[in-house]
Amino acid sequence: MSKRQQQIRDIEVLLSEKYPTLHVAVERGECFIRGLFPARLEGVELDHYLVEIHIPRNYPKAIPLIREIAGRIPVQPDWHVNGDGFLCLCVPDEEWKYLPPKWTILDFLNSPVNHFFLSHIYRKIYKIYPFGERSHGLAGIIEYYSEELETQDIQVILQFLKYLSKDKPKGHWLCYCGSNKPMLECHFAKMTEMHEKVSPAKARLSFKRLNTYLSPKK
Amino acid sequence: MTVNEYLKAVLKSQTIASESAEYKELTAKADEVKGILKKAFEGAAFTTKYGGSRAKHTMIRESYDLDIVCYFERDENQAGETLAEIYESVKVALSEHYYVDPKTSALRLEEGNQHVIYTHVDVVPGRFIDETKTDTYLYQNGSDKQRLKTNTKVHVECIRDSGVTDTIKLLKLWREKWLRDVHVKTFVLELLAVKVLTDHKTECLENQLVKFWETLRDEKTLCVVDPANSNNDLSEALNSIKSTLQYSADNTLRTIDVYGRETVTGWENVFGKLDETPSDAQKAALINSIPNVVTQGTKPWSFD
Repeated sequence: MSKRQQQIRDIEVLLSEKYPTLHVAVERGECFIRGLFPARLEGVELDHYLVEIHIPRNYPKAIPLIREIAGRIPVQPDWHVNGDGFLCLCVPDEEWKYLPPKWTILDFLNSPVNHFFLSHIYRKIYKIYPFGERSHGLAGIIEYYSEELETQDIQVILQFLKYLSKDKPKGHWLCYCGSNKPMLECHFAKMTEMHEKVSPAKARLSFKRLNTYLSPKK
Repeated sequence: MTVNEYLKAVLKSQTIASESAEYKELTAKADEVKGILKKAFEGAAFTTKYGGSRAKHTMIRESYDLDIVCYFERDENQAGETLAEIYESVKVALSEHYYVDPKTSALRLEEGNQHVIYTHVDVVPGRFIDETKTDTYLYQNGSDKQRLKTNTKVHVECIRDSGVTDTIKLLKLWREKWLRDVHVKTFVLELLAVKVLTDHKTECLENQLVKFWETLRDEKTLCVVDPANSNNDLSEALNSIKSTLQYSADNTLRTIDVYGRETVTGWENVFGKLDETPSDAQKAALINSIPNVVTQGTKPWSFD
């Protein structure tokens, strides 16, 4: 059995125990989870949604992509659904907050997916998101890093992302905060902590986006 | 407990008994509405009676309404000459007492001050086509075709006397869970069930349900004809959402098959465990508590 086949088998077993209304389907080499997702709070099912979840080939490095397919949630940025129908669960760089280091499909379903649908249920009644929401696009990424680094300085965020994108940030580099001190004497602990949580690949994407935005237009 | 026993217990839990407070409240509300209409159109020749699931014996607790048809006789013009005028007059008369949410053919009645509550009563205005008082024209609010010919008696008899009303009730419950917010007209679902189960009436509930889901899953196109109006093609209503129906039916069957069709557990995953359904008040309280209970909830984002 290949590693991929084993992964799919593991997912099937976990789902049959905890989410018996969700089922695995493999089509043209792609793995999907389909069925009814129960949005639960304290073990009580508050609502349920028809979903299709795509398990990427680089799972679990990348999180699955999920669509609500009965049309209950409008495909609009304001409802945090991308144009392709995929739900925007959170800013990718902050996924670590909601998933343990060695997460399984159950962690993914129990936390970000369940939270998303609970938010939808709440919003329909109270017109606001119960846990807040991020601004669309780059603004949401900046919001996240502003909170994380406790700064509004966009250049600091850019420099931080530049370092975070590297495979191994070095302590002798000048600190991203602009203190002119080596990072080792300044914010190296923060950099190390975040480097363990946000993958360089994710940081690279955010860096690229922010850098493009800040670069003078030709 | 066998699967059939479980399904019967589900049906029982979904029955609104005629002696229950819920039913009494509903019929009292219906009487109130009828009284309002009678007063508003005093002296006019019109009929009010129950239609919908109450008349068809397919009402379920999970989601129910009481349809009151309000049909004016052919030459009666007090409420208006055209169907649109009748629809509007009835709406105005009811608006003095309720919030009226105009649907395609029906007028949905809501009430309350701070929070609007659905009364579970819908009024369907229309006009009898002739003296037989069976065929009726309904106004189609917001539709290209403003007039729809129908026949409540034929509709009711077709479903009520089909011999599969229990299965229809379970399918309505299934729709509430697996097809929530997907626009499947109840009548279309009922007609499809009657058609699919014509040769399976004597089979047990679980076999009938499985047969229905297998049809949804396997048939390329679904064909349903309105028994009261052959020009009213209902197939389009089904085929436009065919992929969602197929998807749900397939996943329902797979959910049952995880434990085997003879085992109750899989069926419980489809219809829910008996006596474990939280009340609306419990649900509302839980929803209200979401921000407090979930300590670190995700903040949704959008790529663009």
